[in-house]
Amino acid sequence: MKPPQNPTETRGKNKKIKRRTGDSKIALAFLLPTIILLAGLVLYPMIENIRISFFDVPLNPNLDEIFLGLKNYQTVLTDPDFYRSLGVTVLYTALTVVGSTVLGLGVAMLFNREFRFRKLSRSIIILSYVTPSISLVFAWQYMFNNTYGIINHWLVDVTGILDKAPLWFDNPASSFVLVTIFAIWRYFPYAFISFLAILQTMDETLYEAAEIDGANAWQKFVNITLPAIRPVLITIVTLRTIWTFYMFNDVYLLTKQVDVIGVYLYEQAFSQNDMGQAASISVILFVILFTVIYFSRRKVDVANET
Amino acid sequence: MSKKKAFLLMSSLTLGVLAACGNNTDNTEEGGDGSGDITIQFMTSSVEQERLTVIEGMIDRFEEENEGITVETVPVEEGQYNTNVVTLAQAGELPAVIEVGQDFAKTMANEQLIDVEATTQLVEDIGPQSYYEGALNLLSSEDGEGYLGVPLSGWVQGIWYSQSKLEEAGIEEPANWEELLSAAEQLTDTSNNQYGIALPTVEGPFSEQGFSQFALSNNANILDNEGNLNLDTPEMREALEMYQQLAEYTMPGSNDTTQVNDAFSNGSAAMALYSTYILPGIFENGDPSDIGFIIPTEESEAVYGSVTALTISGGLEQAEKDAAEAFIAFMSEPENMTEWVLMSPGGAQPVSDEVTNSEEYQSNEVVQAFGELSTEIAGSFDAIQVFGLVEGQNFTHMGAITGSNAIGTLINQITVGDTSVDDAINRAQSTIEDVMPE
Repeated sequence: MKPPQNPTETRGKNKKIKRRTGDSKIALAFLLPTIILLAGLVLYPMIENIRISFFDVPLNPNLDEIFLGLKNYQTVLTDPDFYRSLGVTVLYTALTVVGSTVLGLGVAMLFNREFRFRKLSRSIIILSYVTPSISLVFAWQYMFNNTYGIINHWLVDVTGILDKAPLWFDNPASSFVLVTIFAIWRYFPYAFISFLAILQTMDETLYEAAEIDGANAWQKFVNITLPAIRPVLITIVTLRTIWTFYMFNDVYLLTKQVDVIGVYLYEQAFSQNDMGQAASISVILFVILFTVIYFSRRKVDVANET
Repeated sequence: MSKKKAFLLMSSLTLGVLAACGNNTDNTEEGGDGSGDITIQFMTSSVEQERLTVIEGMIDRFEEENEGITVETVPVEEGQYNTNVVTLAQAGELPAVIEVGQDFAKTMANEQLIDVEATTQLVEDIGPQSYYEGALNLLSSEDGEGYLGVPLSGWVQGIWYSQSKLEEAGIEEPANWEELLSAAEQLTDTSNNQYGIALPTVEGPFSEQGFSQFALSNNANILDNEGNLNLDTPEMREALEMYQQLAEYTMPGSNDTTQVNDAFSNGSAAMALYSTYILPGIFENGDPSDIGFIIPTEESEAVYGSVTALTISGGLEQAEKDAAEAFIAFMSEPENMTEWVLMSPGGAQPVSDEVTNSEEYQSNEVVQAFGELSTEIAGSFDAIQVFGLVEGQNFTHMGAITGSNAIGTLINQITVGDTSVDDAINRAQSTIEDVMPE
């Protein structure tokens, strides 16, 4: 961390170079508190995380840390479960990001007009996003409960579509599908709010002009809507990818059958209080995610320029 | 304001903030006025306002009796509890007195975060004979010579049943595995959503706790008397097969605490394997006089149980340690233990006869409602057996085995999944071997 500047020292220098660098110095002074805060809250934990990934760290600070070199990394990178869980996570993230973004955009376009109870329906749509995970998880578990859940009641007792209630959250395939639907349903309102905000700033005359030129709905979407919402779209996809990639709560509370990377991290490291191992997993994940986003953003930027 | 002034203002503000950060005073240090005043922190999992009021009341009385000592409560929600202890430990800021369960006490002991000498001395001073032996055993140190904490309350787990439902079916209270199996079979009618017994089958600690009662009642422990893994034994197989059979009469799918509690409370299961925390709900919404309690029994009786204890963190200054000891001794007085237990009557159980027999405890409406059952439950503390406690040695690496979730997964695989007992044992064995100390 950089030490703060000494005020007595800067006071002397200030006079001489005031004209040329006065502004940037003041800017720096104003930024200093933020820089220090960021360094303390982001930079320091990051470096510390990388450091302890090379150690076996005891919980008791008075006991010695044992230097392991790359052993923590080796353990993770040679574990077949890690790759399996990485695969599950990539699929889960891809489906959730695409699903919640498309659904959010669709609903936003539907809502981008005047109708009665518009405000009320908007609030209802946002509900799944603002309710705490744990209450939603309980509701879903009750809905899919094998003895008294409403879904099984409808599928088995009322309509007779199925003979026997399936064990929704005990079968890896159905669990994965449900966990993904849960995530899409829970997170699409975020995309919805962002898209609606930008759609409302758009000029209606663009569409009118296109109509005069004989454009159909799809052409209007591709040529007018999409370019206009592009910056928001990129932000939403990037953020949602990061958030979903590290998802733990929603998945772990709903089922034990879907080992996404967050669950893997928890099971491998935190239930064993092995901080070094946990740190090494998070460094690996950071590298993977950073690489993916860096290259995909570059591709998007290049595509934008051409 | 001129640019120079603005620059100076911002720089000095920044420096001021930094200086303030460095000035952080330590709460557990002695006061500077030389009067010997001391403040200690007490970390508790009671976060509900009603409970905190009771605890604060006790603390007020303690502070009146012990001038110069101030106790600050640090309430931490259960889900955050272990994480908080871990992070505070890493920062060297652990509170002097910490409320712990036996499993977490073992984890802390493994990391040398507990002053075992001090807690052992406290138990010796209070008198080990005043606690139920089964409860105190849960807190014994690995060498069996010390105690990791001073017990305050506990809970036990066994099989609860509806007397009227068993009577209707003409079934006597089951006394062994065979009778339990046939009772469960007779009481099951899946077409009407009726199940013989609500049994834990979730991939988690609840299943390990539930299954442990069947294994231990057949004298099968996970570790042998030298602390080595002892999973693949004929006794353990018998217990697993028994549990697998019994699970045919439980609700399909992974049953966690919510599902088991719900099934028993709403009448879809006639019996349930659950802790005493099933009782407060029955008192509120059910018929307390209809409830019976049985202990899984085959070769021996095995109750699963847990204790809540107060422990002293290691590395304290002498004055803090003295204050912490005085506070725990105060909390261990019978009337204070009674008050602590009665914060959740029915669920939390006394760990000492002095509480069970006290007038205040006996006159509580929940305790009274369950009548004789309350005494029966208190007596069952002596039948507590847990995995990892072998011939008086309480192996601390059992904490890592539980943490690995190998047993919970094993139970889930043979009950909900269709893995054979053999395959499931092999998988559990390899998971556990990874976490065993070298």
